[in-house]
Amino acid sequence: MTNHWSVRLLVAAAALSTGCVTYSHASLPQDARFELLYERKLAAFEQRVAMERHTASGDDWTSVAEGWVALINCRKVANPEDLGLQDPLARVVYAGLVLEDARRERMLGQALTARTGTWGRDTIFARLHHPDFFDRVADHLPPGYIYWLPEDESWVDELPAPLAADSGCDELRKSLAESVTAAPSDGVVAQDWVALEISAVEAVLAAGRALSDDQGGESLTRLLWHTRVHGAQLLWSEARKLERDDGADPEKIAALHREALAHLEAASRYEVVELVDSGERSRMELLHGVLLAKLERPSDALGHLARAEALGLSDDNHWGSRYLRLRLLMNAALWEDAAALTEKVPPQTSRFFSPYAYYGALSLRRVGLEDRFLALAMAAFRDRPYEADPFMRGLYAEVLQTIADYPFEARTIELLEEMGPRNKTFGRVEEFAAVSLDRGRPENAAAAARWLLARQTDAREHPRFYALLALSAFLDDNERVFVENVAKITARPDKLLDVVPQHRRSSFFAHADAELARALRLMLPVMAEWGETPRARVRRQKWLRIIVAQTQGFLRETNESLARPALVELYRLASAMLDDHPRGYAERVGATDAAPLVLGTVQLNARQLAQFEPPIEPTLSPVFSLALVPRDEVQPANWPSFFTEPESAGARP
Amino acid sequence: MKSFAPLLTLCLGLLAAPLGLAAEREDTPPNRPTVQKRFGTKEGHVTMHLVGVTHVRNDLYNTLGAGLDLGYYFNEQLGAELRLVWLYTRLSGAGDSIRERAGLTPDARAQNYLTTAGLRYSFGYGKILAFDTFVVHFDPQITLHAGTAFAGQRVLPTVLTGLSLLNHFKWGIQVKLDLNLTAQMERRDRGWVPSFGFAPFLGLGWSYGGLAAVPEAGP
Repeated sequence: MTNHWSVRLLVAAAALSTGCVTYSHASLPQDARFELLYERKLAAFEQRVAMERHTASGDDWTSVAEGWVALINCRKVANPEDLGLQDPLARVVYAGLVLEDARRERMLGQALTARTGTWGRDTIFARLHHPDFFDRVADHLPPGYIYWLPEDESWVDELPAPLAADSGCDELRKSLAESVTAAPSDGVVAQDWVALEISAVEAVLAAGRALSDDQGGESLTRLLWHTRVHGAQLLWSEARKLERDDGADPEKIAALHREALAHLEAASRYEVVELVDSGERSRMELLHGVLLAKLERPSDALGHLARAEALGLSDDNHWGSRYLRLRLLMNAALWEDAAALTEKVPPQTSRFFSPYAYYGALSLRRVGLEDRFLALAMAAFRDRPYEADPFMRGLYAEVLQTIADYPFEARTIELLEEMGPRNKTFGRVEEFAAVSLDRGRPENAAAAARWLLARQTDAREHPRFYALLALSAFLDDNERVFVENVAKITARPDKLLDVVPQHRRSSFFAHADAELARALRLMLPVMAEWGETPRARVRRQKWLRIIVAQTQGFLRETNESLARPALVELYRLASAMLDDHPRGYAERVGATDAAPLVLGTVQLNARQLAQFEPPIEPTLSPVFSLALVPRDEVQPANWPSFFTEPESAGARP
Repeated sequence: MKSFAPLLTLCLGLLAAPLGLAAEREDTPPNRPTVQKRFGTKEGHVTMHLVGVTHVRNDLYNTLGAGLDLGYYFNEQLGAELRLVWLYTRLSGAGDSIRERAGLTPDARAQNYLTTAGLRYSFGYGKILAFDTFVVHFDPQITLHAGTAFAGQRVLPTVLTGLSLLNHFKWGIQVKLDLNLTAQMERRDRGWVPSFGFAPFLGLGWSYGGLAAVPEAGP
């Protein structure tokens, strides 16, 4: 009996032993991993990644997942060279994460340096750093699960528990703030950030080149395009910083421009019409055109700028592009194409308004469309005073030069009145007269001067008008009228002499006397421009004698004049230029200094306005995302670049 | 060994299997907790155990018994149980000797049957690695039964309470060891008399509630 019971017990034990649970590795849940990331379940995703490492079932995509977790939690994304990734697609996606990490560090560092309130606007960081964007709370365990407390030993039949996904963004901000505080002014830290980011851009592109044509598809095309554009924008931004530094090496700036251009030219070879919205493409075309213009390839630049405008640009970018096209066309002497751009001008509030109006008007004049030129100018003066800036002054001068070629009549007065405030009409008429003289239209100057004399009731202004009449007569070679008007400039009516005390006369007549000196001085360079023909020499000698006679007479009669020194100098100068004047001979023989060289009239030309031109600085939005979110149930060609639609709120540094 | 409750140490001393711990160390940081699906979940399960028992009361009787436990678990911690045990009670050697010499038998009567209803409360969960090959999952429990024992025509109100180790195996197989203390009242010739004893139960049974073949070890 005992034997029977023993046998029965042994059989029972053997049977029971087959029911024993073997100690084996835990198996991973079958649900997709990257879907957890896409659904923003960060704690669950991180647990899943930890499970893969625990069960030694990870692959290259496990590293990608860890990279995403590090990026989201503001921790350093590991160096890809330390990971030994084999899958080319995984290498590209991971390189994008490294690039985003570098971009974040640069943007946050620059914001901390500049003490700006927000950063990362219009990028993924505006969402990633929002505390509620990801589900960071560890899920409660479902029923039937046991939670083991941490121990030193690890059991293979267990899996890592879900942990709350804590963000390290505060620590990142503090550490960057410390580095900024330690080196705020030498710029070395900032340069490191940029250098790292540029290196990361190159790494993404290198990884992309290793892909075969059938890997990745549209999402990779979009990613590589965005990476190229981002690289170009970064280099452009660095070049702009150097341009603002007076001591920067121009060759270095040009090198940055060339490098940026290379990125954009590579980007333009991608087919992205269906993949990227028109706003991004238009800004890329704009930057492309600006860079080509900087590198003196205007014909290529024009094409890109026109494409950018066709795709649609923001107001400032649109007018910047259009203005640049106008300038490029003018520089290439394509006046008709430039004139065509004047059909629309920027709004008065645009920084391009004045220069656009000026150059546009010039182009209209160049092609002979004077009516449109005047219409454009008059419209511009209605929106902005001609004294407002150098371009409006230049346009004003151009208008005066144009209307000075026509007789001074009612239409001229009308135009001069409409060009600015009514109470400054006299000033404009006077300037018209001066321009008329300059352009060899003395009859217009004389008519304008007479109009002024008839209407300006303030007698203190009259000497200038008589000076205009005198100069007109000079240009007309009319000695009699010249002398008459010179006498009127410096007239000392007895009625005035009776009431003005002796000691006050010099200051009382100072304005008139100065006008005489000015008018006579203006004659000298004009005479110098007559040339050296015999007729010109005769004419010049005649007028020099008149100047000598007039100054001599005035100096003898008015000892108290404040313009005496200037007139004495003029007298000597004119005397020295006379062929037969004894003084002139003596002056020439005994002179130790060279005779004064009278140059032609110095005029302000368009080249000198270049320093006032507004810089063409396209407003470029940052690339929203330089990363790809892998998905398990979606083909790589359709992988998104982010989780949800972006919002525009910026993350606080 | 791995347990969720410190009191388990006492119960684990009853199991002589050598303890082995995982020698492999995976990439889980030491400060990170872990999770595991319970092996042999109980919630909503019906259990049936064949039990064997001996009842030690120092009453000059030897008692052996066998019976059936039927149970149901409301959740992982709490379950109810019905117990029906047939008892084979005979005088011990000392009792026989007294009867032969003095013609006297004990005042207590031999018990024939025991029926109780009670609760089982799992206050923890543990597992033991045996021979580096097998893992035994178990629930340390506190049990409380109340019922009636029958000794001839006498009816004895009975309470059993104690600690238990409920071990889980594959296919729903369970082995349990209940270490119960008993308390009974018997109406003897001199009146109601309380008596106390010790009744270890060893049970082999099966839990049914949607069998899992070999449950996954992970979430």
